[in-house]
Amino acid sequence: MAQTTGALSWIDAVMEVSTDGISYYDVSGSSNAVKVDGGERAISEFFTANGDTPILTRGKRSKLEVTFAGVYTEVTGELFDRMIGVYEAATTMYFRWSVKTHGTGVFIFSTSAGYLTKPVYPQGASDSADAVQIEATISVASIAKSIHA
Amino acid sequence: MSPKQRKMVAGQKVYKALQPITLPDNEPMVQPGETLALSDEQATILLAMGAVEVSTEVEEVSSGSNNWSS
Repeated sequence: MAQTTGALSWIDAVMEVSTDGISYYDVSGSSNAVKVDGGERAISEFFTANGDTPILTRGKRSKLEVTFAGVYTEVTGELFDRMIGVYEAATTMYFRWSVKTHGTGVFIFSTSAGYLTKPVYPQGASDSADAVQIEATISVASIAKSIHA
Repeated sequence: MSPKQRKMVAGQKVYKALQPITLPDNEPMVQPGETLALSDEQATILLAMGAVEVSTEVEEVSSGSNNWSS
């Protein structure tokens, strides 16, 4: 089979957040990375006296943790501004992202409703010239792939 | 009026989602089996991807791409 020409980098990614799962706000201007952890499916093994390899049985998938990483700003509507209130009030949040700029046929990945599990406060040190970075992590039950119309 | 109660304009073509479809304008995601209206350009791409199929329904569709009567 011929080598793919469809590989993508993250340079055109779009990252959005929502408090209701319908109206999303683009935070791409203050975010730069998405990390997904968890979601492992439980697999159990059982050995019989006769066999040398296990019998495998499957269980359920664990929760997922989705992290939007970005730069700390004090600008209304940017990542920190949209996260801090939701974290402190323990209200639900939705994340959505795509690897490509939105357009017909682009894959969109959307979380179910989740809660911010880690503090989003800025941290830093005076001997660094780096921009102050933050991370917003939500625990969710699922991520759905959809196609942009 | 919720999106599913909106009626399409004359000449609008209706499609049935075979996969979840995200609409451009902050509308609820269209789930497989639900119908939505698409422009010819959108339909060409999504049909080729197997994301939608032509539907015979003409109203009670989920919204899509600014083609709705008010």
